[in-house]
Amino acid sequence: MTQPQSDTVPAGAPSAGGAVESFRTPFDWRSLAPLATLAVLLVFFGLVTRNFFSLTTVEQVLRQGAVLGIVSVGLTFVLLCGEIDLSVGTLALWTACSCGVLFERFAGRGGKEAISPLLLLLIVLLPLLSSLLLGLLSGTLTVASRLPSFIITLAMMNIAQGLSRYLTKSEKFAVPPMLAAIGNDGPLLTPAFKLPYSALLAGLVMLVGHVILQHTRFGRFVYMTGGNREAARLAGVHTPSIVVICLGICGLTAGIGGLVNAGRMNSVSLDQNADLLLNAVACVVLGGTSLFGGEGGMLRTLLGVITFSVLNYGLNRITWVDDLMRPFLLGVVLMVALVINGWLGRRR
Amino acid sequence: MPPTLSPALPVSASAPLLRGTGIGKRFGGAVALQGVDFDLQPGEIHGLVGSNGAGKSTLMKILAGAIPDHEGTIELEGTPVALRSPKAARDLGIAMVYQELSGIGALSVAENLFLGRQPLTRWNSIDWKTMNRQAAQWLRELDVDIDVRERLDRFPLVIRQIVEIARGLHSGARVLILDEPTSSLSPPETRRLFGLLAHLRERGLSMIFISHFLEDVLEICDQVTLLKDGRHVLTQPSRELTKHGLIEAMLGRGLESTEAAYESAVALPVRTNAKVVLTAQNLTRAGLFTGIDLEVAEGECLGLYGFVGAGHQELAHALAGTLACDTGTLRLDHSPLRPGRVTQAVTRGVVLVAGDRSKTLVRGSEIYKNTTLAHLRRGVGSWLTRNREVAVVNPLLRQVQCRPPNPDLKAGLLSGGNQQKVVLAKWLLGPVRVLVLEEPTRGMDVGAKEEVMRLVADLKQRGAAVILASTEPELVLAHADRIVVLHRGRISAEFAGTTLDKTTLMKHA
Repeated sequence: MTQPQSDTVPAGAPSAGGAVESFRTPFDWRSLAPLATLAVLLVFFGLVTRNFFSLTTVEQVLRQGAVLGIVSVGLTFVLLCGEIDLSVGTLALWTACSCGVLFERFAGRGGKEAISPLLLLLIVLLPLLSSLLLGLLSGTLTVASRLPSFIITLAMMNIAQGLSRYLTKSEKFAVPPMLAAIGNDGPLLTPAFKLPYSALLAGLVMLVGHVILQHTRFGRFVYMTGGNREAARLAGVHTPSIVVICLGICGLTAGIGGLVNAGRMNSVSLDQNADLLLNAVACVVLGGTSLFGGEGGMLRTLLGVITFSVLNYGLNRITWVDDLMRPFLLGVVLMVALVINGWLGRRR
Repeated sequence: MPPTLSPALPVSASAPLLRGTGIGKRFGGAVALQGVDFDLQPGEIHGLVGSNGAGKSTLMKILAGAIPDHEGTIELEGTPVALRSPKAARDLGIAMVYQELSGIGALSVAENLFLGRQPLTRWNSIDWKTMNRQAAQWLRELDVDIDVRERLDRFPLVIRQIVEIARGLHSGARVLILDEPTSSLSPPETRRLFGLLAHLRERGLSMIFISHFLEDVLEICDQVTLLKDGRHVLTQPSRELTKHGLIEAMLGRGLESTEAAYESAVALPVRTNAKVVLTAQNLTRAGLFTGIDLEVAEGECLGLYGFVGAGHQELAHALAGTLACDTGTLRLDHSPLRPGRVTQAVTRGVVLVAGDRSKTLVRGSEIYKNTTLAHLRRGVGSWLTRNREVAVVNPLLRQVQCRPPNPDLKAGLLSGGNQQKVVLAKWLLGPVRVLVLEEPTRGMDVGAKEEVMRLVADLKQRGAAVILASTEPELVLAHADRIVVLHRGRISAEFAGTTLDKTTLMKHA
């Protein structure tokens, strides 16, 4: 019988001697490229706008970044395992719409009538469950059909969009006050600075995502599935389930993001979340997570979200820019930043 | 067409076609190549040998233009040239034929031959007729008569390799760099390739032949250059060299091991009645292997031998449970093992070391992550941290003698032999009942080969059943206790308890 080596290895033994430690790979400065982008943007906006470095800026960036941050968490999982989810925007929309419709169904037009907290909780959780299930469905179909997730989630994008339209009949719906509070309120830390609940929630979701990715078996399997699917399979990792779960997570976070966004707007309508997908992809990639899987992480995504939000907010603060020019400028700056990051991040 | 040469520099008979002087390259702090001089004469096959990490592939990549920022100068027919990109090198007539073939399997042979320069008709559409006719003719010149309209991946490796060579030739190459051209070829295929290379040499083409197969190098090459630790050791006509001498120079020591043993006949031990661990009954997978009945016992090494395409390599995958079969059963300790259920196989200790390391290693991930991948919970627990994992991995890396034993290094940066050691270390973290090896030492130098096989022998000693599938008769003869030969997907012979030599073995394949 061959006894496993693990028996002879005391768990948590000090890592082997100095000889091994001296081989520590030197820190790769290029991984800081995304940070440099952020620094450049901060300096630039600090110079061209008045009072850029203020608590108001922090609050606004947090508020605007929260939804993106939440959605980016799930997208990070999906990109890390080498897939893509194009349905995040419309899944967010679907979740918000179904929540709004349920809410008005029970609390009357405009949501004026009082309802029990338990029912309210269900009104929020059921839509979330549906977005989770739709994500899992995309994943299952991707794995079963062996088609690229690109195709499957493209179809799911239309399905979620269509469902939302059918359900809302293109009308506006109220959302539970709880969501409005998450979207707009927060504890007043100083008289001038309100820490948005939405940002707290985003931070929590990111933290959970980070812990899962860095410290659990599932997280490691996500990285390895993205890094080399065949190697992961031969090592006994059931890679199809990893893909399914990642797309499920992505559906769930898209749903949370959609609800928070609806709360921020204090209502839900079909025009919400239109840019969410592309902005979230931009955030994740801006942070340095590879589109091809296996490389990246939640801290990078956090950095990407902050950078994107600073860019977005900063551009809006520049008064002499024509409003109609802003999306164009946002695109240009984003493209430049991505290209530079791509250059710097390339190995060798 | 070859670019015209500068008429100001008459080429004398002894002037080298390609001359590299003082070539060096560092990766980070590590010296990969230092002050290497290299001359290639016109119409010469020049062997390039050395252990893994000796700098062969770095030198080759520099000559192929893949590493533009190197030290030293390169002259082509006396004119200094800058090989800034693979394309620049190709334009100068230096073509590379890679070990991992770079042709596009889904395209036809003709399309591969004309990749990027298809002949066009008057209407600017691809002139298929001319292209196919031309392609067929080019290949016939190289004694290959195949339907060039077929997809490239329908053909055996040697044909694909010859297509690559033909492509290089007809893009105006004067220097062909062949990276391990014989490593996946069966002996008859190797003969065929050598015939072609000799023919090309007569036509005045120069070739650099990089290989670990020293017999092959000594047979086909005119000159041999040996690198060791990134430095030039010797360049000599191959007729002045012997395999033994080369190995000694490569390793800096004499080789006491198995090398000599398989030159003569090997005595296979009589089968003992050790407990049978793995049984296969009537395993069949259409197109790969048919009706395979096998068993392997504790502490036994079963060799699966065959030429490339005989099905023994795929059979190895099936025996390890990583390939689903059409019919047949697989039993581990008399309880069934479903083929295709890898997770189940791994937990029960049936593990595979696949021939293609790009399928067993996550090259972009750290060594420690690769090592703990298969047995994370068992080896590390539910909460993963780098320090805990490194603490588990370090003793393993020492045990398998991975160099450098740095768990934080990306696995892809290791040399082939050390990558294989990491793959083995991965399995050492859990139970190993049946160790299935498919070409475990492909592309490795003698030293690394021995170290890897010593680890395998260790496992066998401790009671693991070993299945060793290979196309190298030496490897199977040196390590197997019992040998099963496959021919076209069926078992054609089984040897146990007799003496057996290479010729007899190969005769049955």
